[in-house]
Amino acid sequence: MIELKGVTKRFEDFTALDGVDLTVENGTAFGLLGSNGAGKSTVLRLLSGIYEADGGTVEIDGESVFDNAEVKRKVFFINDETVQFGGMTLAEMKKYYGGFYPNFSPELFDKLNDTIKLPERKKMDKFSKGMKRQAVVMTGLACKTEYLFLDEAFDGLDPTMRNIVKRMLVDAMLDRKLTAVISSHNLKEINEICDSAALMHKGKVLFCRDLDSLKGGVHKIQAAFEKDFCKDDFEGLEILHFEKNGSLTYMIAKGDEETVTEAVKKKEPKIFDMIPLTLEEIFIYEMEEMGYDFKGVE
Amino acid sequence: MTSKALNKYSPSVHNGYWNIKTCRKYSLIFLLLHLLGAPAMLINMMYNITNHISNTPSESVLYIAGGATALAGALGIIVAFTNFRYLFNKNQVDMSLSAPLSMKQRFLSDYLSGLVSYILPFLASQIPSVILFAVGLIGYDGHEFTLLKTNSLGEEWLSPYICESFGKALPAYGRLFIGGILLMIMLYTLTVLVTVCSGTLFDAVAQTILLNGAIPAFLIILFERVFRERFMLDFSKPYLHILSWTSPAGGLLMLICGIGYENVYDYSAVPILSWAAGVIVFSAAVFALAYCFYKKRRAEDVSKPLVFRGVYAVMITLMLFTAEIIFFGPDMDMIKQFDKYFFGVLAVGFGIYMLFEIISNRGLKKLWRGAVRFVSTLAVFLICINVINTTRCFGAEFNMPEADEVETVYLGYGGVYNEFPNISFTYFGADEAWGAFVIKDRNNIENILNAQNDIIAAMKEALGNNKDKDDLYNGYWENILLDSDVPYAYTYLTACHELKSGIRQTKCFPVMTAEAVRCLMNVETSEEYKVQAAEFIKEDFPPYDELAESRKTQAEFMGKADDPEQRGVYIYVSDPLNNVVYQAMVDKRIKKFVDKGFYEEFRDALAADIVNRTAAEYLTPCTERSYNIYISGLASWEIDGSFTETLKVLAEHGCLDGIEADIDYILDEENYINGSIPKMSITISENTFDNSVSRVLHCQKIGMSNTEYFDKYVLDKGRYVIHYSDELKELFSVMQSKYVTDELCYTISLNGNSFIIPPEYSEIAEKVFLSSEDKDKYAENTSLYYGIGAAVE
Repeated sequence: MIELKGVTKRFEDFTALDGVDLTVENGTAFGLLGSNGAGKSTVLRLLSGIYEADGGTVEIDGESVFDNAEVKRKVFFINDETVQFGGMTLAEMKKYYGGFYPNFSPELFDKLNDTIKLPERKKMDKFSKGMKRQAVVMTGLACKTEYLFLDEAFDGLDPTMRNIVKRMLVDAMLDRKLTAVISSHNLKEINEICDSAALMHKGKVLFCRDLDSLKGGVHKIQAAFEKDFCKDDFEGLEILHFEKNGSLTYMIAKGDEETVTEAVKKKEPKIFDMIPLTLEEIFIYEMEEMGYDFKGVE
Repeated sequence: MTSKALNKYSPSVHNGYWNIKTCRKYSLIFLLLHLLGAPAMLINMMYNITNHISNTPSESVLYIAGGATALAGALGIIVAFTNFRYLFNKNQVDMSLSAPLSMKQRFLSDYLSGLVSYILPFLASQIPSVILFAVGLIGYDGHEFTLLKTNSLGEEWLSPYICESFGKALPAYGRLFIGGILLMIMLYTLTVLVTVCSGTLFDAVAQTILLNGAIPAFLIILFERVFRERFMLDFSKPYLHILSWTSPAGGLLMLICGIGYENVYDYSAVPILSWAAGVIVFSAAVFALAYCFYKKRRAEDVSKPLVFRGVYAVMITLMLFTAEIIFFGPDMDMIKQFDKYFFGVLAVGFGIYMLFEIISNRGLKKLWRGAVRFVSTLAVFLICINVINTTRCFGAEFNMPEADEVETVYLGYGGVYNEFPNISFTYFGADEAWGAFVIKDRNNIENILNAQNDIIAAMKEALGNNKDKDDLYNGYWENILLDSDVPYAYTYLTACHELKSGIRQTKCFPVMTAEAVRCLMNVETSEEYKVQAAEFIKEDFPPYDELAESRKTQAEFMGKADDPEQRGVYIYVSDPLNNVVYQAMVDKRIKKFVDKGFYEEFRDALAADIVNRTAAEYLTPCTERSYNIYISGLASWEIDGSFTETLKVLAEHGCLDGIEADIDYILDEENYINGSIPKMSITISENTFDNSVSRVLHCQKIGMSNTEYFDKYVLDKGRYVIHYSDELKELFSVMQSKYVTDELCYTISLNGNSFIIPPEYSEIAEKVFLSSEDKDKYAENTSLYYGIGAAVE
C-alpha cells in the first residue's frame, strides 16, 4: 500500500507539494490528474525515491522510500522523457534493468516485444518517441515490480499503440496484482485504466475518489417543467450545477440515481432525461462546487 | 537468458559493471597513451642511470612518452565526469536515483568503477615494463660486457662494463609506479568532489580547474610570498610536502624531482611510504567530503548553478587571495598609497570575478550578491594581511627557542666558503635533506642562536625606526646598503631548529656576509663545521670515470667530439687579476689534462686543507697571492696560500708555473672584445675594503657599526680612474682579491671585480685617487673610461 501523509516538497521558494495526503491500495490503478505544475510528477518522484520530502512521510508497504534500496526494488518509475536511454539498444536495456531488479523476466520482455516488434540491436536514439515510450513501458513491465509509476506515459503513442500499452498494463494488473500510479492530463485515459484518481492543483490534492462511485454519484438531468423552478426549489437535492436554456433545465446533481430521479419527478417534468456524464464533466462540476474556477485549473 | 543469470551480482556491482562498460572507450584511449609512455620512460631511466647524464638518446621520444602519460593521467577527470554525469541531467538523475540502490551503494559503485576504468589501463600498460625488467634482470644485470672507449686524447681501450641498469632502475620505476597510482587516485577523487558539488558540466570543468589550481597556487603564495619573503619564515620542507600531498601537480613535482630529473626541490630523500601515507590520508579526506556532499545533494539540484556554494566560495576566495597577493604583494603599502596599479588590478579582478558570477548564475539575476561576495572576499583578504603584518605573523617571525630546548641545528649557510660549489646554500631550506650542516655541538648551537638573536635585535631596531614601513627586510637593507655602487655581499642565514620535543622550525634571515661571519666565526672554525665542509667539497667531485664519460657524451651531443679539450677533463689555473678581462684569462692561464690520479689527489688535498686551515687562516685570508682554479665539468674555486696541500698538488703537476698577473696585457685596449666583454672600468675608493669580512672585523675593532662605517668612509667615495699611470700599474701589482688589515685602505674595482690595496701602498693609492674624477661628472658617459691614456675632458 502507498501512503503519503502531510507531504510537503519545496524547490527553493516554490512549494510543489503542500500537505498532500494520499493512499493507494495494492492491486489498484490510481490516476493523478492536474494541470502542469500541479505536483503530479513530484508525487511520482517522491514515490520512486528520487526526491526526499521536506515534510510528512512517503511510505510503501509501511517503509520509507527515500534511500531505501529494498523498497525501491519493488518500484519502477517511467518518467515523461526517454532521452536518457538514447545510447542503449533494447538488448542493453534488458541487461541494464535485468541487473537491478531481482524479478526481471527476459521471457516477458521478449513476449511483450513480440507484440510490438521493436528492433533489439538498434540504438534507441534512432527510435521514434513512441517507440522509445513502448520500450520503456515494456521494460518496466518486465521488471515485474509490485509498483509501477508512469508519468505521462501515453504521450507520443499513436492510438493503436496506446491501446496495446494499456492492455499490457491492465494484463499485468490482473495477472500479478500490479499497483500502478499514472499521472496524466488526460481524463479519458485515467477513466479507462484507473480505479480511483486524485485531482491536484497547485501542490494540493483537491479531491481523491473512487471513479466508479464518482461516476455513479453525479447525474446530469435534462428536463422541462410547466412551472419556472429555480435551484432552491429542489430541496434535499445536492445540485452542483443549474442552468436554464429556454424551456429546458439542465442540472448536475449528486446522489444515487433513484433519489435524484424521485426528487426531480416530484416536480412533474414534461420531459425528463438522465444523461451519462463524462469524467471530465464530473470533475468540472465537482470543482465548481468546491469554488474553483475550472478554467483556471486546466 | 533467465532472470537468475541477469541477477547474478548485487545491484551495486551491476551498476559498477555498467559504468565500466560505458567508459570502455576512454579506458582504451588511456591504455594506448600509457603504452606510449611507460616502456619509453623506463628505457630512458635506465639510459640515464647507465650514463649519468640527463640527456636522452632521443628527447622527442621522451617528450612524447611523458606527454602521453601526463595526458592519460589528466584525462582521468573525464571518467569522473562520465560516472557522475547523471547529476547534471534531470532525466538521467531520474533513471539513476530510481534504481534500487541506496545513496551509499550508488556512490561507492560509481566511484570505484570510475577508479577501475581509470587505473586498470595504467596497470595493464605496465606489462611490457614488467617483461622488460624480468628479461633485463635475468638476462643482463650483473653480466660483464666489454665496451670500446676512447679518452680525450683519442686513445682507445676496451673497458669492462657491468650491466646493472635494471636493478638500479627498478626502485626508481617502482617509486614512479606507486606514486603514479596515488596521484591518479588523488586527481580522480578531487574531480569527484568537484563534480558532486557542481550543477552542470560547465561548473564541474570550471571548478576542477579552480580546485587543481587553487590549492597549489594558494600554498605557494602563502609560503613563498607571505611567510618566506615577508617574514623570512622558512617552511620549505613541510610546505613542499603539503604541496605534494594536496595537489596532483605538487605530487607530480615530487615524483619527478624524486627520481633525480630536476634538482630544484630535493625530494629524493622523501621516503615514498611517508609521502604515500600523506596522499592517502588527503585522498581519503576528500573522498569522505565528496560522500557527505553526495548524500546532502538532492535530485532537484540538477542544473542548479554551483550546488554547494560554500565549496565554490572557498575556492574562488583562495584564488582571489592568491591573485591579490601576486599583484598587490603581501604588504599594505600599495593599498595605503592608493596606487593606480592597485585600483587597476582591482578593477580587472572585479571584472573577471563578476564575469564568472554571470556565467555561473546563468545571467544577471541577483548579480549584486556577486558584488557583495567580491567586496567581502577583498575585505577578508585585507583584514588577514593586516593582522598578519601587524602581529608580525602572529609573533612567529621573532620567536626564538632557548638553547637548551634545541637538539640539533641544521645550518644552511656556507660562511667564507659560500662561493664554493656545494656549500653555496640558498634560502631554500635547511635540514639533512637539503644538505645543510648538522650542528649538534652545544657551543655551536648557542653561537648560532646568539647570532640569530643579534640579527633579530638589529631588525627590531630597524623596525622601531621605521614604524611606517611594512617591509622590515627592505627597510633593514636600505639602512645598510645605501649605495648600490659599493660592492657588498650578502647571504641568507638559514637555520632549522630541531627542538627536543621533535618540532622543527626554520628561520631565514638576509644578512651581510660580513655580519654572518662575525656572528658565526666560532661555529665556522669549529671541528664539527670544518669536517662537514670538507665532506661537502668532496661530494662535489663525482667519480672520475663518471665525469670523464659525461664529458665525452656531452662533447658528442654538442658536436665537438673531435676536440680533446671538450671531451676530456681539464684543469685551468689563473691569476684572479687576469680574470677581469676575458682574453687575459684565456691567454694567461695554465691548462692541464687531469687524469684519475691527479683528480683524486686534488680533491683530497682540497678537502684536507678545508679541515686543516687554522681559525686565523680561515678568518683572515692570506696576503699571499691567490689562484682561480676551474675543472671542466665541475666548478671553480679561489684558493689562497693557506691551501698548502692543494697548492702542493698543483705545483707537482706543473699547474702553477709562470702564473702571474700581466698588467700591461689586461690594460691593453686590443684585448677587449666588442659586444660581449665589458670595456675596462676602473674605480678607486678611499678607505674601504672590498671584502666585507675584513671590513666588519675592522669595524668591530675600531668600535664602529656597519652603518657608521659606511656613512663615514664608503658612501660616494669612489672615483673613476682615467689616467692609466705608472702608479696605477704599481697598485695593480700589489692589490689582493682577499686581504685583511686593521688599517684603513683603498680599494680598486676592475670591471666590477674588487681588489684591496694593502695599507702600505696607501700613499700611491692616494695619488691615483686624487688624480681621478668624480663619478657624477661622467655618470652619463662611461665610454670615456677605458683604454690607456684616455683623455680628460
